[in-house]
Amino acid sequence: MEIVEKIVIAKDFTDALGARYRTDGPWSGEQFLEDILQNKFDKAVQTGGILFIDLDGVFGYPSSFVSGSFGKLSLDKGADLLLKHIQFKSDDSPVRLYEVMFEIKNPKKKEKPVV
Amino acid sequence: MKNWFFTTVTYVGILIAGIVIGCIWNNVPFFTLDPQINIADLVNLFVTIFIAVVVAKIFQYSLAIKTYMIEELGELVDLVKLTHKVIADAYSAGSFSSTDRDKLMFAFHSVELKLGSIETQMSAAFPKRSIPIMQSLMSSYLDYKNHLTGGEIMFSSFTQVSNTCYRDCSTQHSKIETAIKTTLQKVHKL
Repeated sequence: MEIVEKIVIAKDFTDALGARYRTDGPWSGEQFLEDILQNKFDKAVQTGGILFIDLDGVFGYPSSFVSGSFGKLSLDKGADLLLKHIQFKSDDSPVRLYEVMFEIKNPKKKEKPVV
Repeated sequence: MKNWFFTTVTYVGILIAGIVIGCIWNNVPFFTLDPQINIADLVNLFVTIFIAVVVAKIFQYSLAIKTYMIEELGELVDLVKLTHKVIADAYSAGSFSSTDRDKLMFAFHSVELKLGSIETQMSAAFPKRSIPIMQSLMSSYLDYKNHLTGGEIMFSSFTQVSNTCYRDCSTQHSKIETAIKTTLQKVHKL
């Protein structure tokens, strides 16, 4: 499959990631999922291609961000579909890649707090 | 001119050394082969010496790698301490700012770089035996990171480290430190 969509998180979103929900503060996982990730992932699936995500250039990935974005998408769409249509790049840290893949394979369901 | 001089001296030196070695070889026979010795015994002796040398070399290499990996794990303990220090300092100061949050994430980034380096080195030195050891360490690390960056500390509204939060963070820090030191024991036993 060829790469049809691309996200460079540090450039297209931010290099200082926030928490899980929009209500937790700026640059949350929920914001990333709803504003960028979801749309590009759907396009990649529809065209039968790959969404390429560059994880480098960011000052660390809070667990809540990873869970609120990749974990939530995995819960909604299924880990197999994500692993089929998303390709990650993490030259900065192999542990980061391990963490994201672990979250996709073992997403934790979190109830959104009522505000 | 200088090069020519040194080249000449080198050739003359080699010639003299050759003459000296030749004289010793002919006139001072340190080792002579007793014709009564069985050739099979001699081969057996050399094979035994060869095996001993090879085993010693392998043992020395393995010991050197283990010592190095243990040093790396020691440095990992120090880096993990820096993540806890951010929380401890904020607890002492009575406030937690967005700068502290960035410091915490940067400290985790440094831990992950070291952890990644250790994982790569371990899989190169001990390809099969290192897998369960590193999986266990990675799992403990993700638990620790999840406790610190998977909840309220990442909220922009989190401005103070409470007693309960500090106690929880200290407990989690102790757990990851124990996990790394346990890994250190496992590397010793490899």
